[in-house]
Amino acid sequence: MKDVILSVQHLSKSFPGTKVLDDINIDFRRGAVHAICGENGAGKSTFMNIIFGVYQDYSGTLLWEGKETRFGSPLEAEAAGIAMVHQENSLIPYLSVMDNIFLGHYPKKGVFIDKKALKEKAVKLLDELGITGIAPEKIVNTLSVAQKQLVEIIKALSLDAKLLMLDEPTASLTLKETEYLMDIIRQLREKGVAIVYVSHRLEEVFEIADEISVLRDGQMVKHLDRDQFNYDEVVYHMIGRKLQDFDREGEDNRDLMHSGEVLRVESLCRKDELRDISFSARKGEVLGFGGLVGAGRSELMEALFGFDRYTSGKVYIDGREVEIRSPKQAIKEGLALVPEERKQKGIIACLSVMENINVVSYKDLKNGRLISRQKERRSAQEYVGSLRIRTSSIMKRIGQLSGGNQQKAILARWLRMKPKILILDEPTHGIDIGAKEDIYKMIRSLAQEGTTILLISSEMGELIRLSDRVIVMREGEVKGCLDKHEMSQESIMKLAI
Amino acid sequence: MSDTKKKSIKDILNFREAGVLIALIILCAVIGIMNPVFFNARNIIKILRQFSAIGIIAVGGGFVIITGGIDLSVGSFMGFGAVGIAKLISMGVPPIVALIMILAIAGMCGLVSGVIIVKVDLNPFIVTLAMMNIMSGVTYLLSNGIPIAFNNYLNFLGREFMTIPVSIFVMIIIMIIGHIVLSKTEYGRQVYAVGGNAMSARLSGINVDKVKCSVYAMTAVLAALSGVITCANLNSGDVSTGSGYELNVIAACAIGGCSLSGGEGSILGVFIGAAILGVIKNGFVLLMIPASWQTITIGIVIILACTLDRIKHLRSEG
Repeated sequence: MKDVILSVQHLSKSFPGTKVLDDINIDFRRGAVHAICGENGAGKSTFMNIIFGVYQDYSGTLLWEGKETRFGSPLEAEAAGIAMVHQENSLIPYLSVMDNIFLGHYPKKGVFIDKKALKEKAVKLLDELGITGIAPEKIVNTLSVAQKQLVEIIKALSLDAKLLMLDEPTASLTLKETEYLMDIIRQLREKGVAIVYVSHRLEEVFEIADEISVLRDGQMVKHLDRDQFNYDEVVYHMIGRKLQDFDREGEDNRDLMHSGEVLRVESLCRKDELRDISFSARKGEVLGFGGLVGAGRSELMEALFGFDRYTSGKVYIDGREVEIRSPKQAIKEGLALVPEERKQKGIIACLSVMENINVVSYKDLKNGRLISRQKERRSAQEYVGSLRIRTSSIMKRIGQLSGGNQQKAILARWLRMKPKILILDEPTHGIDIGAKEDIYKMIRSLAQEGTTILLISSEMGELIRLSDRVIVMREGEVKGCLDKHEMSQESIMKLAI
Repeated sequence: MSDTKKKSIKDILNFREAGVLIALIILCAVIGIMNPVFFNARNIIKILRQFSAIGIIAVGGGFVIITGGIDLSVGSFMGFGAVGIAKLISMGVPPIVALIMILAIAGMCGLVSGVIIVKVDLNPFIVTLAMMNIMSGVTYLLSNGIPIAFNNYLNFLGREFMTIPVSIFVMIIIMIIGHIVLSKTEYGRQVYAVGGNAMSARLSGINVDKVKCSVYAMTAVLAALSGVITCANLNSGDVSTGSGYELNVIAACAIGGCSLSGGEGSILGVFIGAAILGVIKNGFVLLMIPASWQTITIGIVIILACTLDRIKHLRSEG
């Protein structure tokens, strides 16, 4: 056995009203990748935040390199050699890549920043990891989501960490970038770095991890070594029940040929981002959109929804030409959009779950001119129940919920509107398996009820499973459309690259 | 039975404004013990009248701050309201027409601030700072710096009705309307949503630009109204009316729990914030403490109030 760098003993932590972690015992070893799996709300983030010194009021012991420690702040944890890559972006948008990497530990000449050394060090780091396409001078704001994620990881690595914690590092990465990251992690493991790896993508976990600990409802329910890895068992412990096999049998017979066309888009263009895009979707159809990150899928949806205006082209809904100039108008036409970036474009963090669910539909929750307290509560309560949103109260701030539950609340916001066309942009991005299955079921039943769904997903399996047809985009253009029987990872990839 | 009762008491102590309300009560108790005159009905009315000018504007200021903005121009609009109405009436415009004109002009100018903020995407701090300068310049042009006499039926705004100053009624009515609009209408929810996350708000079909413009226009109207009332009370429109009020209004909002980053706050909080400022001013006079200590105390109170709010926040987030 490799030696233990951090030993967590009898760790418990409560927030007012809820016990988040309950008597956790776990060891992290040098030169090993330790994956932590668990559903949203299982306590993974809290666990990592305790190790990283964000929370100090917990019971139990942390033995760091054999000594009892209690980190008073992330700074102290970093000084000891712990680095963390956060799930959400913690970069400063208007600074350059190298500034972001070395913020807090700039190379200096006297009181001044040593610009030359700064650049050299940044270039060296990027080279070491074989990262091309990100210039150190580039302003972070201009990078893609995936590139930002890479910068975040480089930033953590620049500290020469002994223990590196990665929270969903691949959530926004493409397949290729993910492989890349896997290589980097292997390199670090060789160097003796202890790695804590949190991801919902079990394939990845199985590929990279040396051991897996499963967390459920704040308790460590299972620990597995590499030779014991078993997909079904991990899933079983994560969600506490067996996963139903997903089948589309019977559904394949769904005859969409006879259902009417709900949406038709003709030669839609926006500057250089979208070029001559045409497609149509029928009532009750799940139309998938495949392609690499940056292929223009999100831009297309935002243009359709009036968030960014398209420069030319025509959009027909139910055969009638419409010109959508704002989201407000799009909503009137029966469109709904669940955006990819939940934090920036989805939730309103300081408002309650109730207000977040109802924000689009207050019109329907009034008595006369005033909002009815009873109606708005009932509306939220109904969706919290039917979508199984885990929250202690509908008055809780949505920012305090886990990602999966936030996403469900955003879905509830739009389901309330009973949209004709529901646009879902990476709806399961960064969400655990249990919540994912719930969302899949919901998508299917909505389609059966006649809602047209436009689904963007970078997870091929998901796209193929759910879609009736898949449109593949590349560099702002439609490259092809695949029917059910033509769909496969290969056929999609071929068109996408 | 006892259980539900217990819960309701806990709820009462748990509401957002409880902290500042308790602070206000303690403040009143201390001053009242040291000088019982404080609790005289006449004195309480005096306090209310003193802070009614700020209170009226702070309703608008609260809306602006909840949308995540800030308005530095309210003091100038107040001066404009005072001088503008006196000037119009002195030129022979019927008082009621003059009142409507002044409020409309102020509203238009506030709207201009709002439009610049949303369309040019400038920071509200800068735009309203510019508007503050423009309006005080306009006010000076109107009066040449000389007070203009104000004697007409609108003077009742500065007088008493059933021994209670009319300005207090105006403040209370505006506070109640503001409270209802903010907490019980769709528009109110939109104000919170815009301040909480403007991008999400837009994607939820809210016309973010319209909401933002509306709060600046409304605040300008309320500031001008407050200026008219002050003018009616003093019987003259004076250029110096409202100078420095912008900071008092922001202070009242901040003490009352409005988050300057937007998305949080309430009119009840704003009222309590304005009341705390009023009580401190009055109390220090009663206790014969030099005026310089007033401003020092107000500064400390602002920091304390916001610190307490922050702590409460952190606790609830865990």
